[in-house]
Amino acid sequence: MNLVYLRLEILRIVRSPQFALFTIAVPLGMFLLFGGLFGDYVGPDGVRASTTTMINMGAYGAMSGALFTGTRVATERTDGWQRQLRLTPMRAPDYLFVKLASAMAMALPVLVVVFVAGALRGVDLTGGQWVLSAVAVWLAALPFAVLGLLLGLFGKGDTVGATTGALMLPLGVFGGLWMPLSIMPAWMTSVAHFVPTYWLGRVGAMPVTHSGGLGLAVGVLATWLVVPALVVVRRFRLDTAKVV
Amino acid sequence: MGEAFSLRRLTKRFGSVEAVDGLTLNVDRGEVVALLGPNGAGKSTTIDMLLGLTKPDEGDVRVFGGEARAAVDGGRMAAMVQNGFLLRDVTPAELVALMRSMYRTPLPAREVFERSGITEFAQRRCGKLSGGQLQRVRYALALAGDPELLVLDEPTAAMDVDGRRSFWASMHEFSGSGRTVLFATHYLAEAEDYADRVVLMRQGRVVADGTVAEVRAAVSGRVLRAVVPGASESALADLAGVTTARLQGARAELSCADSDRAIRALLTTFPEAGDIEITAVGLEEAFLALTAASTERAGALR
Repeated sequence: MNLVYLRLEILRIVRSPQFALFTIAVPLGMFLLFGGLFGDYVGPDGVRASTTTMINMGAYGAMSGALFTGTRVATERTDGWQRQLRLTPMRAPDYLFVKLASAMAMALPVLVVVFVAGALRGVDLTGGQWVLSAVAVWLAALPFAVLGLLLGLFGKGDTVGATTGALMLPLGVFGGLWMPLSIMPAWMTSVAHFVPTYWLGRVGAMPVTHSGGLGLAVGVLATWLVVPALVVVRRFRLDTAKVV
Repeated sequence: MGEAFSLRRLTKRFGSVEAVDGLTLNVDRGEVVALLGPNGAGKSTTIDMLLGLTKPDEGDVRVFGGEARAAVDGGRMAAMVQNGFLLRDVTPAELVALMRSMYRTPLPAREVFERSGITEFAQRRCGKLSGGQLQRVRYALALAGDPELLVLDEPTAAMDVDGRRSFWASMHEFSGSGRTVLFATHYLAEAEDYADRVVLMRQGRVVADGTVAEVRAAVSGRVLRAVVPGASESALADLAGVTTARLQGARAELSCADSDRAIRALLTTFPEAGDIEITAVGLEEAFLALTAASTERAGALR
């Protein structure tokens, strides 16, 4: 991977922090609100609601940070930056890896902020649980980085942002990140098992709940990683063969 | 010297329009070639095919004996395309660093800055630069890999007079070290002043190719004007020494490769011709005539 390019991408994110701040504000606000209202309830899994909300909102934030890469890719396509890169030795995989890595970088700050807020608001976990939960959520955000790339390679600069926003709400709801699935109709619980966000929240909670099912979670998330990745690779080849 | 690149019978259509029509061009190493022609002549499409950005419908492209892509990957060919997009939120210095990171033997950054004349604004964000400054940044990016062949599409567009002068001075320095340059332009003066060889394009074809003097001779010639009662355009065009003829009423305008032969032939065939005038045409006028011809043709299609 071209580290000079990755560094430049991260610099660009830092230089226009509006979106990064937005991806942080929503989950942080939601955690403070829900955590404050229902934080002391204890869920069926024996975990306090403030802990669950923190993990879920951290997951939601990581997802939105990772998906955000799509807007950037689409804008660059529309502007002609990719065409400019085609005049250089940089190859499609280099570009895609840098975009993926910067998406993962975008997923991290929001996660840290929400977890720190959790610690300040009295979420009580062991050191190992804090680290494992955060790392699990962060790694599980990878499929969303690929989904972001996918959106970015198909949409136009000005529409991808809206599409991503529209996609995040059902992903959050059906994944049980916004509300516990236990209060939702049974059919929604069934649907949830096919939605990547559900497993994103689950892997984050596993170090706390000690519930099993890691293998299944990894399997579903891997599917959500590989299938879009194949489409991305195919699309990128077509994209570069075409005159922009 | 060896060959830098060759384009063989390239054809590219966009819908029913033939943007490039059977174009053949060979350029040797060390040549500085101007691709001259009016807007819409097919210069940019030709360049896109040379760079491997566009696939030709027919014909083939060889750069240093291989694929265009390989020449780009190996850093042997670099280009500056029209309105190439630069990220607004980064500085020219950062872009140059990015480009340098992609090549095995890049030029030192400082040398890139100096050659392209971007030193004074290298640390400013691209979004804050003028069109002429951005154009110099694009040139800097093309230089970063120290290419053997530099392809420039309308390089001085958006530059002011000073910018142009220093750009061409830098280009001259670059080509002086035995490197090959192909640049597209519709400024005749740039082709005359900076190219060893001029390739004149019109409607997707090469209409003249040679040194400035040769192209001038090929396309300029002389114009013979006369009043020729009872003549037809085709009869006039068939006269010895005449290349093309236009007739408006009885007024004929004949472009001549050899005006001496043409006037003899004219007076033999049409003894009643009068009001005769022969004028020399400069390259500038010939170029304008070509431009006008293409506009007329386009108008007729509509």
